Amino acid sequence: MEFDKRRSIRLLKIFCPEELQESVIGDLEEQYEINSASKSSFYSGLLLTYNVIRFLRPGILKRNQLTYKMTTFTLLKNLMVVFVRSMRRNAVFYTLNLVGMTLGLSVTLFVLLYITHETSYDQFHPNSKDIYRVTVKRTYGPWFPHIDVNNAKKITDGDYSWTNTATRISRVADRYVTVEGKRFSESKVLVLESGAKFFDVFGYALKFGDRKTATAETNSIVISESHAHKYFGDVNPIGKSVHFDSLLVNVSGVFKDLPTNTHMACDILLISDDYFATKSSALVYFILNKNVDTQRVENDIQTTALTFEDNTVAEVKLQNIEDIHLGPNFTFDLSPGGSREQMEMYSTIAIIVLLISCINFTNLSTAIFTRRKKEMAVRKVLGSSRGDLTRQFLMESLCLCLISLLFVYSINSIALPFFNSFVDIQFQNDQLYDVRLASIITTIAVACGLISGIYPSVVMTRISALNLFKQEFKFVKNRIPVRKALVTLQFIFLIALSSGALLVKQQLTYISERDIGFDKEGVLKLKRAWSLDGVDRIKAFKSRLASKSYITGVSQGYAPGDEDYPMTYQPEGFDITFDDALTLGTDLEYLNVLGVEGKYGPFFNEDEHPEVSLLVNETMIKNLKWEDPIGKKIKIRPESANPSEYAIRGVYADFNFFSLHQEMSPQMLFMRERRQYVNLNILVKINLRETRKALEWIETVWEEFMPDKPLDYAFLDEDIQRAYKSDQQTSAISTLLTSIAIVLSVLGLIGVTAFQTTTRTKELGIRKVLGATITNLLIYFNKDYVLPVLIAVVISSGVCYFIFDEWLNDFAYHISINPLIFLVMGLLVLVITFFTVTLMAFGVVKENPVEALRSE
Amino acid sequence: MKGMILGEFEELVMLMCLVLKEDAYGIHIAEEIKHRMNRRVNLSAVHVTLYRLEDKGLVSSYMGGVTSSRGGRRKRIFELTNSGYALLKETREKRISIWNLIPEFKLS
Repeated sequence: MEFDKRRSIRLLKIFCPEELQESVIGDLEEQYEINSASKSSFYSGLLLTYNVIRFLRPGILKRNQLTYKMTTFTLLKNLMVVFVRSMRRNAVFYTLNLVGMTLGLSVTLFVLLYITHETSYDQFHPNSKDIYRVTVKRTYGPWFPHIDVNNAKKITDGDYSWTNTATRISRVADRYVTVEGKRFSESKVLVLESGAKFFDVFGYALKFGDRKTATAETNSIVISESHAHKYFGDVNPIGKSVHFDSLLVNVSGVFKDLPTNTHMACDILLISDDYFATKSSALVYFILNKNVDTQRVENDIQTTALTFEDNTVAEVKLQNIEDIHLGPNFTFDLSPGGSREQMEMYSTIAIIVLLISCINFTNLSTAIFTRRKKEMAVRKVLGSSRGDLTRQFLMESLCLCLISLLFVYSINSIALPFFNSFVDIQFQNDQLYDVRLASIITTIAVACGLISGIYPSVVMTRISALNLFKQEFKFVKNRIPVRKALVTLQFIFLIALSSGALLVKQQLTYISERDIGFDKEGVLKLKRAWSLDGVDRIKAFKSRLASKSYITGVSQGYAPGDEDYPMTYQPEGFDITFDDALTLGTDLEYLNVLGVEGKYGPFFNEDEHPEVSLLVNETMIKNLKWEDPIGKKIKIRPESANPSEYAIRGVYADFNFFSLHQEMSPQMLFMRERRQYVNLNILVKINLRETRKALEWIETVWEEFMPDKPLDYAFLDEDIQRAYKSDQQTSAISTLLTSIAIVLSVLGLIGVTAFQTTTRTKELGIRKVLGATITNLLIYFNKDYVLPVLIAVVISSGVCYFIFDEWLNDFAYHISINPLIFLVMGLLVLVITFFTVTLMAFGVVKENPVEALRSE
Repeated sequence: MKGMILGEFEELVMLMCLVLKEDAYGIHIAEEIKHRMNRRVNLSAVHVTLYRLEDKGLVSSYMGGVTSSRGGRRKRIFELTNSGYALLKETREKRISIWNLIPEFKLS
């Protein structure tokens, strides 16, 4: 029964206080020995267990840690009281500390919110890991997310081992939806065929309607919840009919509004075979069966499905739906992708701000603890170990960080709309309270509290109680290197951030002032004017518009800034094929409307124009090194079955079609006087002095010609500006953060100076008595910062140069970094430091030395 | 020691501590009471009583040496403190003085 005995003893150990255990167990054992002399070992074992259980009585239990707990509780209460008192006494320092930490954590929380959003695209579909789409590379260069509609059909309807569920999607833009006589202009519309397995592939949640049958019939429509509300109010709209364009359709379902993190933003799903039949290409999404090699599927699609009808497919790649947003950019994708660089930049900045906050926190905490040395001394005398004190201070800084977290949440809730307009994503307030996000930011706050609390705690508690009681510190000298290093680090960040902000600003100014080769002012872009077709209608539309004096030119075609891709071409006399030229199809007015100069050729002379005439830009001529380009021939898409060949009729001056991030590319302009259809936009040049009249006139004419299509227009200069949106965000964010960093650093300097003045009151008094003037003393305080700033200038200019050289190289046209910037910024930082320190120290320095020397 | 009253079992345990001297530890006291008084005593009761007396400052304890029995564990030996001894004596004297009030049982 050895086993029984041990188990009983283990049981005893659970409830018996440790200090009693030895004698009790010994006694129990002896009893067992006595019992086993007269009784069977089993019986004495039982008795032992019984005896153990008898020990389970208040007289024993009460002796457990209960008393121990009591002391901890009292201690904790005392610590809290002291903490609160200290906060009250050093309110200024604690406020600075809280403000700094709050700013740092606030920025971090926003960046975290942004990053979680960007990295969670399309993960809301239940089987998002298995949803793929087909993307293709064309032989003429660019990648597209859509494929030829017939080939798409082969994939969705064919019998393949790698998928059972696939759907084809197309889109249609800018149509009117008419509900009970009211007209709504809609742009986020996807088109499906009847019977599409759309809801089998995508995990949209349906509010009304059945997943299985919602897409079953042609001429039906599935709308988002908010749109259902907009059209019909609060009633269930299933079965109601609306007009989509001129088509009468029935509502067959309502899906819950999509989250913002989807690449396929959509309000309306139109199920119409007629509409779909007019499409030449479609996107294919499917659910990949388990354990299938994507490489095999790609080969499968390329060899069997695509090749025999579409010979311009160079490569097929599957793309998981989760990778679309941050993946490579495709031409004419459903939505522009996100930018990994931007994410990296935001995270770097958040880390820098957080580091500055931590450095501040360390400096200010040291100042606070210095003012509490008497408390420390008393605690030490009363028997607190160094560990106890360290723990106490660490707990305090943790508490501060957690308190600042409360502020962070209230600030961020208020500032969310500003942040939303800044990043152009509509975050909801409750997204801030997401459990995962909250736990991450709490972890960061705790880590910050520990990291920035550890140095002051450890250093301050190292001092012996005896020294703590003394008025002057010996340790002040010893610690200077660490604090100096921290201050230097802060200066490095400060100079780097401010010169970075300045560089970004300079570059953006440079770009906005640079001549882009065409006149963007007063050019209106009437977007997606496809429904204006037929040579005569186009002609009539143009002449009707131009009949007013404030319309100075009407053309059509792609406008600078529109998404486009280069084509392959083979110039006369060359064996190789080039793939770098943009091809623009337009009419004779194009260069006129954009104000681009012609260099050679009589191309504004309308009489000489054949059906199509080819103009090229100067860059192309320069690249090909042609002396006399007029009349030279160029073969377009030489790899295709029937390439066409054109002779150059003229050369025009370079203009930047894309943003200045990109190098000037060769361009080919195909001018056609008699166009059958509009190439994307109608471009209208107006007299800016009569903008309102011009706009009204344009709307009138549009209504006359296309009453059933919504007019969507943009000013070209504003449109072009959008290409620099991320740069402007960079500029805004770097300016904002530089300001925050400056505020934080000033707070830190206030802390350090206050710390110094309090610990050196006597020293200052003596200096004054011995004849130091106020100026002397102020210089004495300030001179410590000259060297750190100088070091910071050197280091930060190196780091900055490295980082921003790369950033600038992203622009084809950019400024060169002037090293003077860093010096100027260093000087600026020095001036700010000087002002802060002087302001802080002045109060102490100007005092009568008697006061200082009398203080005890 | 004014106002402090010893319970019957407490008194017994203290007396045993006096009797057993260096051997006054939990199980021994319990066995001794069992033997001499011919009553059932549970070990835990003795322990709890001893601790309570210790709290009151009537007995004090120290850890004895290591023995080969008891799995090598040390004993906690209890001895009376001066106040404990005084209280015990006082209790006894009070009892006797009351006994003495009864003529046919007069002891001294």
